[in-house]
Amino acid sequence: MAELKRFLVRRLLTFIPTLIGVTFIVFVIAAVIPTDPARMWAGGEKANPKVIEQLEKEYHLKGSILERYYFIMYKLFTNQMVSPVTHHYIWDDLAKRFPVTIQLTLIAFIYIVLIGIPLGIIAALKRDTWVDTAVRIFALIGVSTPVFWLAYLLIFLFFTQLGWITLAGTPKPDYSITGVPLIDSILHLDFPMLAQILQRYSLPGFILGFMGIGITARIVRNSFLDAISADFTEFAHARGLKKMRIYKHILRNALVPVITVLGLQFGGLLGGAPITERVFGLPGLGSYMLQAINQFDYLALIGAVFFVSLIYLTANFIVDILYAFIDPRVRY
Amino acid sequence: MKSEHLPIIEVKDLYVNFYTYAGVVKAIDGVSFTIYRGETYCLVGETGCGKSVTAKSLTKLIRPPGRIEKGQVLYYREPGKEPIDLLGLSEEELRRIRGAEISYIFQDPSASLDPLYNIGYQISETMYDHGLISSIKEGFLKAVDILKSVLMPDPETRVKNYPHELSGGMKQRAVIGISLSNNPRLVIADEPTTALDATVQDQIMDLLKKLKKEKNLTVLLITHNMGLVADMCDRVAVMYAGRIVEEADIYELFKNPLHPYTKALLKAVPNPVKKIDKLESIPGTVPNLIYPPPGCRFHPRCQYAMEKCKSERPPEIWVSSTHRVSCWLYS
Amino acid sequence: MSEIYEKKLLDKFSDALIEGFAKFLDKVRPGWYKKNKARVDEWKLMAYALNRSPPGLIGLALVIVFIVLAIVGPYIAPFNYDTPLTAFDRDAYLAPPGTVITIPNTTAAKFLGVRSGNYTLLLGSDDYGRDLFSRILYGARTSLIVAIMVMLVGPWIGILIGLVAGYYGGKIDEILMRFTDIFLAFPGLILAIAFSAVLPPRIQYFLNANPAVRQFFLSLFSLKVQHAGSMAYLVSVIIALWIVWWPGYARLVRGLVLSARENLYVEAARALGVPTRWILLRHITPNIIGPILVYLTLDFGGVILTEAGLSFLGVGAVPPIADWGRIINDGSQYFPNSWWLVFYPGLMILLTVLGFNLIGDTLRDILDPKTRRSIEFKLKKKKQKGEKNEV
Repeated sequence: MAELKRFLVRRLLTFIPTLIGVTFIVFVIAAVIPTDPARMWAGGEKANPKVIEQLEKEYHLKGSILERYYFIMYKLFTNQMVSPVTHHYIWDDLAKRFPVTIQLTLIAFIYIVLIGIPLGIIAALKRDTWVDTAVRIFALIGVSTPVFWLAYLLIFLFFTQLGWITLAGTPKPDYSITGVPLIDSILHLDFPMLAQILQRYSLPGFILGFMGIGITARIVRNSFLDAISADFTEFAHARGLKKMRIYKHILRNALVPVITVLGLQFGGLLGGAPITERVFGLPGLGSYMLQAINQFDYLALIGAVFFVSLIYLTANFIVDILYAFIDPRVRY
Repeated sequence: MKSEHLPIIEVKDLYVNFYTYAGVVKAIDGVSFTIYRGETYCLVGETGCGKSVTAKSLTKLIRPPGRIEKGQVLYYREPGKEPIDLLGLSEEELRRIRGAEISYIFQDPSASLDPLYNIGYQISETMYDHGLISSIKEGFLKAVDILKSVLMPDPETRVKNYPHELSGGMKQRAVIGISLSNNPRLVIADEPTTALDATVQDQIMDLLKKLKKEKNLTVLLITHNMGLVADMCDRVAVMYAGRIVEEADIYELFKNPLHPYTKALLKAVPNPVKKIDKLESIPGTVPNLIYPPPGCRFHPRCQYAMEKCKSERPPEIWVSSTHRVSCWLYS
Repeated sequence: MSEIYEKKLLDKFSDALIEGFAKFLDKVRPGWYKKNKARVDEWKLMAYALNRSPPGLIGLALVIVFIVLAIVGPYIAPFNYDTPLTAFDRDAYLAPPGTVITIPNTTAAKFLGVRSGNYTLLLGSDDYGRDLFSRILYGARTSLIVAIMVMLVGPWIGILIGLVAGYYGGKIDEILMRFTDIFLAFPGLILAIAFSAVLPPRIQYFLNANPAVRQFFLSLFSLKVQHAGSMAYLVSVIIALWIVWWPGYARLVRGLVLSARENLYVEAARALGVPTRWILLRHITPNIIGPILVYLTLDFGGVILTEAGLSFLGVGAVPPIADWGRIINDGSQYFPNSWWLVFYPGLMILLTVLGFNLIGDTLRDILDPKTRRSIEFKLKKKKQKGEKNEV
């Protein structure tokens, strides 16, 4: 376990330069902001010049690059950045919207794992049959479908025609443990609440996960086939291990590349969240970004971008730790 | 030859095909031989001649696209008692025999071991699945003893090591430990040293020799290394293109090779028994086993080839009680 | 080599195409054909394999239809992308597919370049009375141009960085890969959204300052001069996608170069003091070109899909530009009553992207040595069967 600790420390250390790089890119986005944001914030063409001047001073818009960088980062890290449009603390707004997005991604993730992995295993076991071909075509369609289009078709089916789902409101229990309603309602065994949440989130989750299901199925299939034909599997047969134990060896080895892919999928899900949230009217981080763009609230925009990248970095970090647990080779 | 000629394995008329995209590969074409208790029996031949396939066929380890078409593998579990045909057993019955009574050592130890589990676990599970121990935990204690017996340095630490933390030689020691953990009767060593460094090769072969003596094992050694053959074996079978062309006592083979292929093979490698001046390569190439040459499969490369060789398969001729050859020259 | 296979009509066609291309190269660089005879045969063989793969052929057909539509679309479209037909016929407001409208012979019609008469709106119209069929044709042009512009630059930045990092290794590799990691720390689409949102004012300024560039893009997108301002948003999307589309390639190419470098002949060439440029060109490029080609094909579809997504979100194309994603965005408020505004553009995106993905997937099989042999074997088997029939 000492190795594991050393691995974690090293991984944390590489985290720091990446984080600095991320702040740099966030700043680049802030730097290409349209030339005169203060005027827009103050109300456009007829804005009061005094207000404009004050905004420019407050947000250091005319300062040197270094000054602006320091200002943005300092305010973001200390949660003092106030949106010039909504006058809210940006970090507070983001924290409020975070549970919606994380809930959506979680449900999408469950679809990916529960459908993608079994499909991949079935395709591997039925290699070169019509089942394998069907999974392949499904995967190709998955990466080719504009999900917002699919979303409208399925809304028509499940909402307009069948009425199985709801499209308004964001169910939220009055208790809070983790802050994520989905998890809280499960912890509280509050099934009516859980049903409400699923009614609202299951279709958006499916839409968000749709592309990932096919990709995951393909990767699982290939890595499963690799493990089945590996030498250690042959040796496992040769030393007379029981069938279930051989499958355990195969499954664990097949899982190693799958974990990497699932980690990457998480980034895809976060990136896809704006589209899904826009279609289903969910007030998550993605719709916050879009709202910020529409209101020329560029500081809120970069705050959201920074926040999402922090989530993604954390997720990657967790994936790496998982990886180290499952594969001793990476924890040298 | 030892143990009063009591056989342990008798392979009769084995045929194995591989169904590939390019066509049907007739990898094993009517192979028969007997291994006696306590001896070291060798299969030698060039790469791709069917040695490994033969070895794997013994316990039906052939996987698709390969298929055992015909033949018998008679296994004499107890000396002198009725044999069982391994090829007729169910998968579960075979599983109980594999690793417990007949075990394997493969060529590349780095690939044989599961990279995600430590050595101790892999030894333990092998014993656990054959009912030798009642818990994996118990297996770890036994694994230390096993690693000691295969001369693994520092076994108490190594037992918790993962394969990637071991050197090639140590990995092969671990594989040997796994193979011998259930005290098998027959060990099939398929090119056990080919993937290792030259210096380590000797150590591993010495270890195998030592263990064979200690545990009174029967060994089927598969190799293309004539030096190893001379060092280890009691009897040798020479394979060419999926057939056994000659089988003899070790001294007999080196002193008096009969088949033109054996002769050529012995001229191509340093002979440990007879001194030869110049090494010669065998002209021609290994035949394509999808369309093998008719008659004797060696005839296109044979300098003594006759008309008959091109059309008729040579019979098995016993020139003495311990020496057989498949060649028209001796009929 | 190519002679051993039974040739179908399609093979003869692909042969002629490849021969023609080879002859052209020969004309540009005399002696090319003779030197590269083997390569030309290899191309033919790949074409035969493609000719026998139904998914590949379907993909090819879809892509060809898309490209043809994108090129000729603006010329064959019955109306311009921004012609508001409601000005002539009230029925043109959110008209369902198949609605017939009448355009009177007025000066307004002449001014908008519409001839009078009856028109059938094949795919219906939107809330401005714009013909959806025409807008979808223009939209094909928009997608194609954006995709080409992105693919001409984005991946190549990554390929260059990957080549340099993989070949030189050491400190250079470390620095370049850390740089790449930073970009990979963002979900791609998020970064694309942010850049598409903040870039347009500057792009607008740039286009106004460079009328030649502006004119070039206007004619590429087949847009009217007065829509140059809206076009700046499309150009912003292109640049945003450059920024997010290279890191994947840098990783990919670096990995490929690292494994290609392991080859003994590359090591030998280095030991012999062969110039770096030559090693990269002669020994490493042939090893990595296959996977790169596959990814370029797949990503062509990926870019189209992403661009549609950005436009759907409102950070890509803006009205009145015809863009598939944008049409869905604008039409979604009338869904499901005016379903055609969502359904048809989405179907076009799906078919186009699927086309590229089918080709990419087939190419992967053809270029992968593992699957390649089985394809060659199948070709041979057909030939053998053909012979038997003749006997």
